[in-house]
Amino acid sequence: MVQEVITDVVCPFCGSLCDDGEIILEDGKIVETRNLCTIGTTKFLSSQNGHRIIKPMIRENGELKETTFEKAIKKAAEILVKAERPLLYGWATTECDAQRVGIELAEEINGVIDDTASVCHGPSTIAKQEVGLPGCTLGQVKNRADVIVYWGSNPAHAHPRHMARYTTFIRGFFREQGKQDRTLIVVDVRNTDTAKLADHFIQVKPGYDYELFAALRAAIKGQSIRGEEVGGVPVSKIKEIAEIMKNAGFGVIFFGLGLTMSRGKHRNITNAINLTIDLNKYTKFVIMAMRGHYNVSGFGVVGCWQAGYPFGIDFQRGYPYYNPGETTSIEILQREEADAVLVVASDPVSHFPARSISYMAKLPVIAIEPHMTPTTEIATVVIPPAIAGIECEGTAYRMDHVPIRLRKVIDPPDGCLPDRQILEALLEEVRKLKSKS
Amino acid sequence: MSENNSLKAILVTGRSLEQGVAIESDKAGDTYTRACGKCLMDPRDMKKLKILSGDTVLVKTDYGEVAVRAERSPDAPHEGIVFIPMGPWANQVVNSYTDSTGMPSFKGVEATIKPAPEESVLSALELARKFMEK
Repeated sequence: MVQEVITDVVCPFCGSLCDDGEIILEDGKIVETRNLCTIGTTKFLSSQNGHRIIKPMIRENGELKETTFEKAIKKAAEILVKAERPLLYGWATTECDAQRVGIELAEEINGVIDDTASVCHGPSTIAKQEVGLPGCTLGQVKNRADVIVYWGSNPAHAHPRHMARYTTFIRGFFREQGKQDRTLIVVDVRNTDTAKLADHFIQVKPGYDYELFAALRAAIKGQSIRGEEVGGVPVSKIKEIAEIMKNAGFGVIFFGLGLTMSRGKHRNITNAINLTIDLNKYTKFVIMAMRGHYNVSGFGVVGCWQAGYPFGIDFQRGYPYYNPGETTSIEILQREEADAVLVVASDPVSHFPARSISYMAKLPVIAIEPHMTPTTEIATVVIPPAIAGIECEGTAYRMDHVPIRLRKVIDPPDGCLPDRQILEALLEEVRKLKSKS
Repeated sequence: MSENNSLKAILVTGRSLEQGVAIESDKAGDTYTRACGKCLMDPRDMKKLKILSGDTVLVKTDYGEVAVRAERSPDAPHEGIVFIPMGPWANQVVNSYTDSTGMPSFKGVEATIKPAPEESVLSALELARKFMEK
């Protein structure tokens, strides 16, 4: 039995992109991980758990049947070339070069390319485009921050090592005592496992975040607040939190989907950013989105390089056009506009509202996906890839937009190519078909 | 606010550790149903409906309905708020309208919860197949 330890492995699960993982291999198989959270560990172990799709498949008479890579690519290319309004969705759990080829493919077929940010931190991006964003890297938070706010975010469950590695419990250059040098404030509608660790837990009523930001901004400026409570929070508590924020040496607000998915959506984020801007009149304060998938930030970056826009990029006119609410996946499906869907590294059938999926299920769907999911269950063509960050290398962007190189720790199953190579083959086939017609 | 043994509540969906582990292990298996085919409720709300953890409830909104298992919430008190982890179950009942932002309302949806011992909780793939049949 040959044992090998691979160090400094980057975890391809959440936007924290922890880069201190250790993977233990025995005879070329992953048997154990060190330093990673339970979700990261599951991702590495499940890559070999026997549930993988190994062969490309095409649906015939209602059943998915195994086929060759070449036939699957040909069928997928035919679907995309025939389509008048193809939607290319997903992209958050693959590496930047695959995203780059995806954008080239979208341009070639005059499609719409959109990533999971659309139903995640899309509203945060809209807010950022309106008012800017005072930000920093997670390293600065670790070394300097003494007031940490998690708002509408539960990192204990969604980003399990975020508090230990970057923000709260870790010792920093100017925060030598770790947690004792920091104040943790959590704002949520439930007393989550993150809230249970907080020095101050603020339980806001669902849908009242905008009002609470407005009240905090008023309190910080010394303005009066009418009434005894705002969004279920007593005014005295709001004033206490405002004082803690104003007196911070270096404060940071991490916000999650509690803001983007609730009433107000991007307006909640605009107000959160404006609160941060207000606080900078008194001290140093920054704000950061708790990005979910490990490379969802990367798609925004690649989209901006390639096409000028971070998500919901529409090439129908022959040039990139962006208008969230018009060129985003949910609306394109609900308006019954798309006539084919390419899904890469995502599972929209699990994560889109039923109304969008009812229509999507009628369309030809191509899924580039390593596991059986509800999306492969409705797909016409399924092509299994190598998993980026486990079976192939690539670049991903952490939630603070620091690019990190993913490592390859094991070989993929025979015949499973990286997403980038699958997309390049698809692009080549699309060009070949287009030149014939 | 319980009426005819039903409860009006605000539905919130979102991530959980179990949900994260389930989506990275096997979405075709029972793990996913156990992790996400459930509704976390405040114990006082469960008492009003006379249900226990593990009982099946039907969650109904203006956008659809879904059968899930009720479970006592570890994050209580949050009377009047129910939580379904993000996934195919929650998405049967979330508000699909986006206010022209691209983002549906996955949180803060008015819902009615009622005991439904006759209903069974479908798996993720069974829910997907239902769309194919429509």
